[in-house]
Amino acid sequence: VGVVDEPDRDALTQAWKSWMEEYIKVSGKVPPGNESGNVTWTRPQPKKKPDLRLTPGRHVQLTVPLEELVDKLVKENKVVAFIKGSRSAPLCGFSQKVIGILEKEGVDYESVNVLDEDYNYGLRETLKQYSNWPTFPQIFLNGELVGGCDILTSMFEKGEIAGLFKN
Amino acid sequence: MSFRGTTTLLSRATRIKSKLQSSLEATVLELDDVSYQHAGHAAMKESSEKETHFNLKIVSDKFEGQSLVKRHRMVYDLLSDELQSGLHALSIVAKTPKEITPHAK
Repeated sequence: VGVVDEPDRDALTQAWKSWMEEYIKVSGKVPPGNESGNVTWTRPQPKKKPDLRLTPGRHVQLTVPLEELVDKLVKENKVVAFIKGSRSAPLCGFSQKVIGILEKEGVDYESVNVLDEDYNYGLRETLKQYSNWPTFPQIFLNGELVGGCDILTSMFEKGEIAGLFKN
Repeated sequence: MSFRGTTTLLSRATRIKSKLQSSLEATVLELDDVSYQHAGHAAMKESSEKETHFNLKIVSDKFEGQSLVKRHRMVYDLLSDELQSGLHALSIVAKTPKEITPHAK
């Protein structure tokens, strides 16, 4: 075991280099794990998109009603899923199921966390009125409500998701 | 049996069934209380409410020609009081009599 006194970056790099050279001299190979191009421990999942937020925060007074912001959001984005929790950590079984389906089918979608009281304060009630739909999750396509978990699951089982949600 | 308040002596399940039955003239109506399955998750942990989550299977002629969204809305509209008084979620399977008959073409 080698010991490095005063381990600043340069000293450590030097020490590593000399250990590598010794090892290579003796065994003719690079010690395993020290080669570049080793992908065993790289991040397995590509980073997920962040959830969209409707407002800049509760402290900011809205200049337009929340309903307008919702309307704008669903019209400007092809697929929007209003879920409980975030897409990386849904807080409800139905929302989780919906995210699972969208991810599995590789749909490009936006997600909004309706339980986020800081950035989406009042969203749940506003959305229930806007969509005339009392529960979450709610999935919108091209500005219109497709349905909730049951409807999406039924479409998924019939193989309708890709054709409808993707181009 | 628990009594909640002076005005509701029937259970929510009973109220739901009777509302849907009378308005939609369902030929099949199955309602399961699955609230226990959701007792642990975020919104329900602090609450001692009962009858909060149900699975509904309903077959009615009135769904003929209606999209899934419309069928679900019909059910939700009939149950708007329940939804505002503690019913949190309703999983709906809504079919027409033709759709459940096997080998129907």
